[in-house]
Amino acid sequence: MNPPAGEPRPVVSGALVRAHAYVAFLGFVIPLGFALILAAKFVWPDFLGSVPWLQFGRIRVFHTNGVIYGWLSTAFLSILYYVIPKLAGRPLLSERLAWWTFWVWNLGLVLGLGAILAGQMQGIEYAEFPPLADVVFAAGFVMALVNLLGTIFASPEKQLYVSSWYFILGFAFTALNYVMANIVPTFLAPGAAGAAITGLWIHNAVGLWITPIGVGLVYFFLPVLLKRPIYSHALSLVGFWTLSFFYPLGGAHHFFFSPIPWWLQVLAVPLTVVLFAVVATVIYNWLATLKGEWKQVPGNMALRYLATGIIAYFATCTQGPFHTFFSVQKVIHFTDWVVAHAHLALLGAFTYFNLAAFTYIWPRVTGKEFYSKKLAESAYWMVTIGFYVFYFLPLTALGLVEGYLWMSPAPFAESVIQAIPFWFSRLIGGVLIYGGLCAFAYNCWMTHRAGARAPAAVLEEAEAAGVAI
Amino acid sequence: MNKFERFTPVLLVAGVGFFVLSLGAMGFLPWITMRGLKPPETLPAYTSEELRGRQVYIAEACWHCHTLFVRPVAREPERYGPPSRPEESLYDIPQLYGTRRVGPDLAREAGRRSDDWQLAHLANPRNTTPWSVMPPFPWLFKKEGNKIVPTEDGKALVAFLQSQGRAVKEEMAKADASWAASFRGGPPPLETEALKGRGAALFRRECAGCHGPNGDGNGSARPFLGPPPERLSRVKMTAAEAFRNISLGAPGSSMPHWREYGDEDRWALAFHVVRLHREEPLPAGAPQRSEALLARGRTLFQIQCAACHGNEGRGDGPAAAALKPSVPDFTVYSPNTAYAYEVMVEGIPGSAMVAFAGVSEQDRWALAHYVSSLYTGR
Repeated sequence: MNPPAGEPRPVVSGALVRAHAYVAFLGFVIPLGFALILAAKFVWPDFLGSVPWLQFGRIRVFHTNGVIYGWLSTAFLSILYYVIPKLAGRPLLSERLAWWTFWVWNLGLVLGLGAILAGQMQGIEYAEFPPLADVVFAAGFVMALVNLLGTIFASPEKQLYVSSWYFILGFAFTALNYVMANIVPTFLAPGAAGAAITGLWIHNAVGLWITPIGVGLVYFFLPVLLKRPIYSHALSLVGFWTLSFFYPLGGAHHFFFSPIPWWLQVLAVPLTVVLFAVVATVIYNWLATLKGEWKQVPGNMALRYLATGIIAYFATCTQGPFHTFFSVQKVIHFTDWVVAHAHLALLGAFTYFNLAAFTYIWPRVTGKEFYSKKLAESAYWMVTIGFYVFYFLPLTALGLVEGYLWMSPAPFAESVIQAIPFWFSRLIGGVLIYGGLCAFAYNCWMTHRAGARAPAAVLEEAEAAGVAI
Repeated sequence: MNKFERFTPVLLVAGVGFFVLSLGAMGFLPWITMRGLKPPETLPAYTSEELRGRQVYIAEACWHCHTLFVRPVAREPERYGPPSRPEESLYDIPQLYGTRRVGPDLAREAGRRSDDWQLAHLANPRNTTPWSVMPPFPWLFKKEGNKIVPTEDGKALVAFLQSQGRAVKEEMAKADASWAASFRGGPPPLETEALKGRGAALFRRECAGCHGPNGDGNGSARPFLGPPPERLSRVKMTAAEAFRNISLGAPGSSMPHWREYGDEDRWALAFHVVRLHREEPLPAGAPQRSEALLARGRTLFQIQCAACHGNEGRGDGPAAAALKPSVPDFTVYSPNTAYAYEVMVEGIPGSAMVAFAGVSEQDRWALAHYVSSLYTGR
């Protein structure tokens, strides 16, 4: 199991990391391109209106699935192929399996996303891939699980670092959850029972896939970037076990005031509110690790993405428990407030974590210095300003406008007519976010192709860490 | 602490155990508690056409912008109808409750609007609803000769929409009827400049799609609707009559009621509709109005028209009660002579008003003059 002594052998395959990264970049270039069309259709509903596969509903689903599976999940694989061998102190269980996984996974994505555009989707949110694509994608997922968890399992290290716990949780839970979602609510459970189970699925798709992998990455990269250990090991243990216990129980809060049993709705409130305490332990741990080191944040791009993401994570996790109060839910449910909230989590927090990770590992898996500092700077600012100024704040405000109009005697039309300026602002924000992310991807691509050789220090560090470029 | 940091407990307890726990407690348990539910007697199972429509509803992701359940809060019962109950969705696998609402809820759509309206709206929502941001669905339609007709998928989707809320359709129709029965109209407000502006704006927002921006009835929805939208610019009517039509709609046609708008808005619209009317000259060769012609018209009217329109043209003939759309009262709702003539030639497809082909041209003009002379404005 252990590398033979005296003969250092690389543990990270740069090619594997890069290949997944490029697919992940396509995973935002295409779905976010479609998102711009979506944003434009909110303002000009007849824009591209005669093309069935560009119909609003289909590309909305393409956008959500494309971002969750194509971007965030593929990026997770890319980063984990770097992080897990390093944590485990040994190469991947099987690099061959990883390449097979790559093709199966991508085939699943192409089949699923293609079927959505062709109007062949299933009627469960985030589980819209049709059965054939489900099987292929789930197979790819399980192959990645075997390889990555197997690597952790075969590690010579006696103790598991907190990041590894989160990765194990995310993979095991989600493999089960994904299969369950594509069978139980899709084909078996009717009406309100189906809604309760769908609530669990959509809740846990975010909370027990995106969240644990993303949180695990922060636990890994924060100490690495700051070159200091995590503040409290014990606190991370508390955060982990309470999250994995409480988080999956709150799914019913996605269907408040629906015909699902009232006891279930009432129970979901405290089970969600308690998450605030759970998240507080995680955030406290991170902030305490950062304490005294904030001066490093502006100058270090990876750290800057990570810190900005941590703030967004704190904000979105504070919103969540607050949303479950019935008095709040009554107003904001169904509105653009929720759209803004979801983007705060998936863009503001988890996309930023991924961008932080890529900024850190890219020179190490290419052996090159970043192609352009200017591009990197503009990417950060375009995404950040585009999102917070033009997207998050206006849509949050719009959610209140819509919610209170629906509670008033005003006709429904009012809530659409008054939304137009906010939706236009979202389009501007979308263009900025898209431009920024494309600049980031282009910068990575050019770094790989034409970047200057990385400084000796980075190269030595990469070699010492066992990265095969 | 050590044992919590090993592989096995994390995998088995957190990864698998908590999944099973959450699914059992929060998913399967509620399912078990609802096993005794039976669909209400008023709710038949979906037909195969409705199921096909449901598939289209899923494939086009309609459920990403429309919810299919009414909450008991946030004025939704007033806006949509009775709150949804779990037994109403027992035929729905997968459930399509929805989590986002860009457009209105559709759980109480059954019978709310005509099939024609639904089709016109699906072809392009701006046809019926100028403010809408919903996408058009041209691929649910095909050309047949020079007519645009729905495909099987298009028809099926409408059938599915008309099935939503069937369980409470009767209950809602009764509530509607009792509202209509108690409708009195009330005194009109003073027509201020502000009200004029409001009326014009609301007409552009809600009515122009069918009735056309200037009320000539040639809005883009027209080819889909039978009976077609009224040519308001060719009908002289009182504000009270306009207000009544706007408040109650015209059951049997695609004209919905507009009670979502308050009294003042509906009056503003009514005043605007009255102002849309334009006098029009008779076409060349048509006989001018004369006492003899009116007398002839009156005689013919008693013979040919009174069964529905009533002896005095008040829309209260013995056959009128059963007719939908209802028969107009010509003393407060009066077509221009030339328009009345055209209607006799063409009839109103989709209504009980047929074309009177057997009547001579001279007699048609006599009838048209007579009908347009009935207006009293009271």
